Amino acid sequence: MADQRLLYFFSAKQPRRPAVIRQILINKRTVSNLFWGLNYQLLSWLAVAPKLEAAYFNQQIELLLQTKALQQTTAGLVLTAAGSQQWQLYQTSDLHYWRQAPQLVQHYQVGAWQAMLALLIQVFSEMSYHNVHYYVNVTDPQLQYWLKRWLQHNPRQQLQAQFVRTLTEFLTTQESPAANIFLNMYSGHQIAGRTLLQLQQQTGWTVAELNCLRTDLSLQLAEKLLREGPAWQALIGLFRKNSLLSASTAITYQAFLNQYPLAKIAQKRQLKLSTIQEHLLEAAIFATDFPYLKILPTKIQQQLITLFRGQTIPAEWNYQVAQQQEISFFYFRLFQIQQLKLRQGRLSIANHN
Amino acid sequence: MLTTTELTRGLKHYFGYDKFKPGQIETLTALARQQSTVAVLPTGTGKSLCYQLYGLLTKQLVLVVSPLISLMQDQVKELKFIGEHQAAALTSMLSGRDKSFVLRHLNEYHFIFISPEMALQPDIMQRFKALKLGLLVIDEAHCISQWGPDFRPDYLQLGKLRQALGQPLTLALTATATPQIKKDICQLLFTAAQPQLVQQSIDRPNIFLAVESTANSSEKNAVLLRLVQQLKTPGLIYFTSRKATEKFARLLTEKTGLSAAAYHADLNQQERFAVQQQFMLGNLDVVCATSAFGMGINQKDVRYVIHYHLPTDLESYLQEIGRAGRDGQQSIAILLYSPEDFERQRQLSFASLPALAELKNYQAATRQQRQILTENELTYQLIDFYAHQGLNIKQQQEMFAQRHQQKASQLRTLQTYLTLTTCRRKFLCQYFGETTEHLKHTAACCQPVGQTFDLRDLNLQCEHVERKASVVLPSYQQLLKKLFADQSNQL
Repeated sequence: MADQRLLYFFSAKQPRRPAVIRQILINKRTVSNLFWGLNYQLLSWLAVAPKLEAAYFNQQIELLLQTKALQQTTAGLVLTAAGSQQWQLYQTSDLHYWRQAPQLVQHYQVGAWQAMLALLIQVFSEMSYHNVHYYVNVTDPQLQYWLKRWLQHNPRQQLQAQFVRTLTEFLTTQESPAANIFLNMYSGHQIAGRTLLQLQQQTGWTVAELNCLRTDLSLQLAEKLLREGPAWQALIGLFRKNSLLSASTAITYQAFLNQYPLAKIAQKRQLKLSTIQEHLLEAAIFATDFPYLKILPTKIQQQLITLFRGQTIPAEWNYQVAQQQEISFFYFRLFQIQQLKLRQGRLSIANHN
Repeated sequence: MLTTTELTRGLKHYFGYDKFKPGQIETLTALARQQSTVAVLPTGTGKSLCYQLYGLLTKQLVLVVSPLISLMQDQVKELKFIGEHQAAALTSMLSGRDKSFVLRHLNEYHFIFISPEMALQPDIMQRFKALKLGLLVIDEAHCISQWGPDFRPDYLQLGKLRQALGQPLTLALTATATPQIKKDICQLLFTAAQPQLVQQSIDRPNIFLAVESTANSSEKNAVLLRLVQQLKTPGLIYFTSRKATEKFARLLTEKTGLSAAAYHADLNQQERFAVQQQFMLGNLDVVCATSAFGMGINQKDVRYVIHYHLPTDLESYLQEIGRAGRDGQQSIAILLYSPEDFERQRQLSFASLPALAELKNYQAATRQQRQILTENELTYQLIDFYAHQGLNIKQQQEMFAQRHQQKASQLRTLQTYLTLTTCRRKFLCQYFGETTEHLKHTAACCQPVGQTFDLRDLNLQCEHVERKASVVLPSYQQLLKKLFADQSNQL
């Protein structure tokens, strides 16, 4: 049977290109992928499946086409009524887990946080039994060092109580199979966690779904712990990325916000002007308050409005039309991004004007 | 210099034991005399305790070169367990962040575990040169000979490392060493003064040695299922592939109700720990593992070790069956095989040896092409390594041909062991260069071909069938109660 999880990423109304979807899931951050991801409203799924192989993905898409869950059109694939029904069945079944907070994956160093969470549970569990002799379940020296320092500088009994309370509250808000499975993954005092394979045998969920559950719930728990005060913010801050921009893009964007002209930024950073422009397009895609008017001349904006008046789907605009008016691709794409976000309700009027 | 009394007191203080195991005190007193030592101590006799105690008592930096990352991580955990927190493993698996953390704090550690390839990096070697080293340990020193030419060329360079570090006091540890391997260790590691040799017999009288020949893999599966249901637990079953460990862990749970887990190098850290902890807490009847499991596992009451696939050679076999019966109680090692296993093992053994065509390919390749070849393929990496050591293609061809013969001979020895109609124990001891006059073959020793053995006679038959596999997962509420004591006071 085909991997029905992929049906989620298709729409009955909007034809979508599968290659773009895969690139989003594996976090291939070209401006083109990001733009199409924005258009499909799938950017929150960026980097969720970095190991998704092309061969597997393509084979599954092929199967979904064969079973008529998806249909080929000239502009891409669309979800059929049968596909939509299959997806509904999948999503509502108790035998599957569906990620609730995919957007958090981009915000965290997922592996490191998961290791820290395992360590936190173990350390607080052993601490509650006043046991100091135990095999530590995490080998990374940096994580051990961070936790040790953090516990030295904060009231550990209070942190332990906060942790147990938050964890309990968090699990109470989850569906019971998910909450049970999640906690069974962790080790503590005289308690050994279970492997994904063991859990698969005991629950019937697939290893992929169990893996997804572990990531999803551990990140949601991190977000909940963040609200428990400065000590938790300090610890979780070690694993949380505030900006979704790549490091190089962030530097360019900051320089741009600091009023440096693009040519000057390019010169200073020893990068091509086109690279700097790509950085700004990436920033425009992610930032909710991108100052379009600082870079997009009013005259060009007016020209673009006139050229594409009546064409309500910005992603379908043809650049050749703008090119004939000698408008650069950079301005065209920037305007497209702005208009797309406006239509998706992602921009306030202030950014538009 | 440390006296025997101080050593014994230290043993009690740090490890809680009153007495040393055979070979430990000899090794420690040699080190206390500043005498570099090669210690050949069978698996389960506490080899690592020798350098751990030496480091703990002398308060000097101990640098341990070790071949397996999982082994290093286990050793670090063990040291932390006994209260020595200044221990770290410096391996290629560390993230850049962790690696630079350890390197920045190098002089604060008392024990550093390192992989050979990392120890040989010039910048790392330079950093160690600047430190005052109390003891250099080469763990699993047989890798110099056994794995060297194939998988771990870096091990061959450890002599150079020792020289670069100013020939510090050195301890080479291994559980299995034929006379040839001992010779290799001494020659390759110790160029000037020869080391002291401490050796204990490889024989483990409490492990019964058995071999079961089967016609094909389905018969082998049936034998395995029968055995695991009859044998006292816990037990270990070794496989050569990750896939097989998972398949059989699932199969055993489903068909027998035993609690089984798979263990292999692809599990993440949390899962590896979970399996080890389940095993140590007695929650598991059986672990289906690749050779990644075992080194450093201190479970004392393992009653059986079964090999579903053939081991690489007798050296590895002895290492792996050594996980059984560390408590001194009767245990059993059973090797299962069917005719097709030989071809499989032959392929696995020779796969990493470069063939003539690959040597020629390498020779004909441009620098750029060589870069591409060595990026992905182990065999080309090996050729490249020796080319950088100054060996031309002809010399390499001769060396690999020799290695090929050596491997073929090891396989023949293994085949001989499987089909022995005489005492298997005597054969093993002779193979490792020990005298065997004192060994008397009895029904409790081993099972040569054509003879049967009775698990009841060995007291290894499981009388009360107690299945640990639980179908129902505990609820999170139940788990929270168990994980955190006094929870009600805190809430």
